[in-house]
Amino acid sequence: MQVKLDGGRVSAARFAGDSCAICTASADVLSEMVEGRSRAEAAALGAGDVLGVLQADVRPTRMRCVTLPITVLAKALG
Amino acid sequence: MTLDAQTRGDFPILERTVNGRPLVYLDSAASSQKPRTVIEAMTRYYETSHANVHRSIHTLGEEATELYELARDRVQRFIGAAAREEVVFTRGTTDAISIVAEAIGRTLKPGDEILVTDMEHHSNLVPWQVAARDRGVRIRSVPLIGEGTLDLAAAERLLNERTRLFAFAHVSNVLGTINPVADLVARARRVGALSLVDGAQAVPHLPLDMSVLECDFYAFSAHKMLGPTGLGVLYGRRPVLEALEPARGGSEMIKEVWVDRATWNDLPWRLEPGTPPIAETVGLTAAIEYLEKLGMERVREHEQALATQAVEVLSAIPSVRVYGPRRERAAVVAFAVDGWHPHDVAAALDAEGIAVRAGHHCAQPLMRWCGVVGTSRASFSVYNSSEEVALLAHAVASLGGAP
Repeated sequence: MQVKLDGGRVSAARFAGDSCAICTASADVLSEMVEGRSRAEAAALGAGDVLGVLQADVRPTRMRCVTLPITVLAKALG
Repeated sequence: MTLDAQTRGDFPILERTVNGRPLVYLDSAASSQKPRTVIEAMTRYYETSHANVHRSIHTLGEEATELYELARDRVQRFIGAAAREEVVFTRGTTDAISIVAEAIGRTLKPGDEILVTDMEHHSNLVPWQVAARDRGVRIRSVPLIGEGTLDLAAAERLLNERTRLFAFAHVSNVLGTINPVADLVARARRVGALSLVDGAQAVPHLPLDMSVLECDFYAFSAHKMLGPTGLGVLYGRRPVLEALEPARGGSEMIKEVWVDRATWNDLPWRLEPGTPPIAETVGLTAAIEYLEKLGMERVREHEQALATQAVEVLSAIPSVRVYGPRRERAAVVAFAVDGWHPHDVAAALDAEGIAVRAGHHCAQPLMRWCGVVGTSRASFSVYNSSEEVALLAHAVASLGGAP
């Protein structure tokens, strides 16, 4: 995941990866959600936020597919 | 009668439906299902004979001990071990390999080498990494060639007087490659190295005879061979096991104990500290009796026919790539579908009631060799049918473009 920060706010986020549909959707939704947010707000986003947008029935075994981009983003934002 | 027609009714779980469809269970390489005789033997044991083994001088204790030691005799016969002392019960294949790695690890010196292969399951890599850590020991690996077989010329070059142990799989859990065990063991022995074979994917599917393979150690799990989880076997050639200083202590593995020292019990109990999984050994006895009744030659023929069929029908789908040897392969078939991540393939098949494994199959170095992050994998057991393979192929062919 690549994040562009302007004055402490996320101005753009992109991702590249080889992943399943759920993980790709999560990364896609997350990239859109973080734009315009402050660094702290973006880092605070969780699985619940992404699932709220995805509106999909994600089973417990696939929750890591949802959370992987969130974990990576949090690392990127330090 | 086909083997699946004969066995199908013995597996209660296969009567259930998944997502409204009859269950098509193609994940036996991860864990096989259990026949009724195994489930009933374990229940009967708990209902009538349970007590701790070896220690209790009462009727139940004696019955439990008798059943536990009977399982050892059954395993000995099933794998063609020379003596019952060569059969050590463990918690699984990983545990069996770790017991050897921990014990050998204590004897490793800087400059020593452990040889593995690029097709190993993590269970036959990480215990050696842990054993080698901080000891100046080098781990080397035999590369793969062609459709995914070991480069034997490289193996010959890599084995040298510094090699302490050569650890390799009998059957790859991804490629289905059947490795030439006796040949590899002989090559290791020529340089004075011990050999350990990960037999987790072989024991459920092939007739076995330790006296022919002549390896020093052979490890496998009960749960992949119609038996229960939580139990494995470490076979070891007697002189090698005798020389193995136990790395784990506890009850049952001792003769006499003082507060600061102890003397060891005889084999095989010396390597079995603590209360073992007793009911599980009763289940394993039932699983072995079930397989012996079918006949392992017949099991091999049935499963290889399914694997061959799966390779053929999956390869015929333009968007599908099948991994591993075309011929002479075991009952696992890994494949990739263009534009589909393996997790999505497995989820789509699950919607049709078909259970396959998806991911790196605990063989990340092998995935790198294949150039993929993971694959989907269908694997077969005695209860699978030719019709199920056809259903799998039909479902895969119907996937279409990317999800």
